[in-house]
Amino acid sequence: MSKKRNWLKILLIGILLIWTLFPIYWMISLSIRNSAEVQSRLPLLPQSFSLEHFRKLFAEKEFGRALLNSVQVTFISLAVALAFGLAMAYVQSRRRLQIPGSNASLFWILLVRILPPIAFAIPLYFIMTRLQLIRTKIPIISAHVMINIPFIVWFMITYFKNSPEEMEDSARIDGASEWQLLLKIILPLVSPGIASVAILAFMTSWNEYLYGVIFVQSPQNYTIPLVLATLNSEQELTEYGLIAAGGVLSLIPILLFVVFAQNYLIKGLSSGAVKE
Amino acid sequence: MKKSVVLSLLLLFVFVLAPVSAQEPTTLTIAARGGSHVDAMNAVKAEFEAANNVKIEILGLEAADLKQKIGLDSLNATGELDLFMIDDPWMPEFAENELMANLTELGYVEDEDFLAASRAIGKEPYGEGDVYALPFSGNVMLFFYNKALFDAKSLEVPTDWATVLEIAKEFTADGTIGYVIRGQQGNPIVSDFLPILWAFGGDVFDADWNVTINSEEAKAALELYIELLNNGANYEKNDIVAAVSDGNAAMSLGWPSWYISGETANAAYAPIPGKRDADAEVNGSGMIGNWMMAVTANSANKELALEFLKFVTSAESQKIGAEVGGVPTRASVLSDPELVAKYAYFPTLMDGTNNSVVRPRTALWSNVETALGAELSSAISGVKTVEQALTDATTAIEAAMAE
Repeated sequence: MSKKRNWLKILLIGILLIWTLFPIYWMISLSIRNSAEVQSRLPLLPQSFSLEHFRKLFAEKEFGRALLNSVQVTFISLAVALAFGLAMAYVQSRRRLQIPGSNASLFWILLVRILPPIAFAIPLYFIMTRLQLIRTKIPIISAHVMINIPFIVWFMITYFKNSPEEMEDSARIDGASEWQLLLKIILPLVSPGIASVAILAFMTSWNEYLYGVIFVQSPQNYTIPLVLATLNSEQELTEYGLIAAGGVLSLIPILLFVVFAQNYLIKGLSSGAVKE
Repeated sequence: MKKSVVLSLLLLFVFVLAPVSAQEPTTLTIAARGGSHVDAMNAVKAEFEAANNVKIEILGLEAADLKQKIGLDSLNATGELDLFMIDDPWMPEFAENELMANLTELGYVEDEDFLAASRAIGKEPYGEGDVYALPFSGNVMLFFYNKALFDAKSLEVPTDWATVLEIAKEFTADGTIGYVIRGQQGNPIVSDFLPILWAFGGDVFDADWNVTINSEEAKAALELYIELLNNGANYEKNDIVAAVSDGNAAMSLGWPSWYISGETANAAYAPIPGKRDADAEVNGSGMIGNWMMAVTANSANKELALEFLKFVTSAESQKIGAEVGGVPTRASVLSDPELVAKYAYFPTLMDGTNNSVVRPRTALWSNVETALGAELSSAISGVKTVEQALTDATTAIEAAMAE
């Protein structure tokens, strides 16, 4: 009976592994096959090896510039969203905001994630156009900040609430200012949560497409998802090799970020989910 | 205090780094369909920039995003865009919403070197009014077949659909895919089916805009389409090109640009059969699919934009653009001996365009296409009978047109 159960477990794990890893394998395998193979009947295992798609992306599709833009937009928006989101989460968790309607503010923040993105994109587009900012990266950075702040606030409130208030009281008695309290006592305590939310917000911003396509008004500001989207055209063949190569390259920064913060992520997700 | 300085520096970082491209007064911005269209413009724009002291910025976009961007920008009093590309079925919708500047009023004089069928698309009303857009990229659907397979059986290129089906059956009997349809819902299946419908003498609407998709001709065309599928396969475009090029499939319809952009793609081509059977009368069946270009109605630089439009669609520009995948729309370029020697399909493309059929000129075509595509898909998958699918398509199209 137990042997049977073990086999069942192995089978299920195997199916899950194939289900999750096969698309990644397929993307990598497409990216390293030559054009002739990509455009013919594709065997499961690559029959050729070529880096031509990677070369073509940088030489002809200005992928290097898009990569730089994505890095710029993602890191700047992440830094701003974390700064405001963490501050808001901390204030809300400690009920420091003693103004009418402060309790409702959490709901209003969440509204940004509840309503469809296009509902915000259109008014923002007109605001940015009127302010003559539409040709800069400010609209897309602002949009990414806007979608990440609610997520950061809701994610981090639990962490702040679970951190011991006694430590804050002790620090206050020792003469710590509010900034010192936040930066030297509270934030180190919730750093696993910050790492977790930073990774998730990073991925959201890195792969974001809708706001990008609406707000980017110059080819100089294209991000990776925008460049990859133009490689599929009705009039021409879909350039699967290039799309796959772009996908592989686009994975690298996310992987680096996740590997760097992996320990924090696992610890953060488990400790934040359960109230002790 | 120290912390507020850090925060201020962070904000400064955002504002200083972000505006990488400052707005320039002499920039012409073009919203274009990404791919070879952008390459063709990039190949020639430097000359115009130097001669006119202007900067040309080209936004390459996916088709749905292009339409959305044009629509959004049209709501600005002064547009951010100066020119945009238009898929030809969009023309009635764009004209109705007054998104394009009237080029005739701007002083544009019609150029008869553009193929007449392409030129007609840019006029509003269709074919007879003022000029609103110029043909930037030509395309017309053709019949593709694998020549080696045909030669092995000493087959002639079919000129009617009954023969296409006979040939498909012959190949199927030998274990080769006879005919490949492109039966994905929406634009693919509608584009793939309409040439057959037209060849059978049917259409989606009659001259008074009554829906006629439930006609006897349409039923016969759809029955044949399903028979072709039974003697073939249903693939997406990359697989169609691969199958016909490799000799795994014998025949399909397609856009010539698929075969141009595929480095290893090759197939023989011919006009789409225009007859139901050998004894029937010939109807126009090649679907035209031009990409047009227009000046935005709210551009601050209309005259300059028109100059660029004339420049980028000139014979010289089209010759250069052809080197990077551009498809000409001018008779002089399509029949240029030097270019024909290099691009043998140009004369066929020109003949196909001259005998082409345009999709119905209604601002609601996108909705009609979605409604028809869903029902055609139900029919080929066996969810509905031909009769039921076309009856439901009639109801759905009438509802779409009533919106």
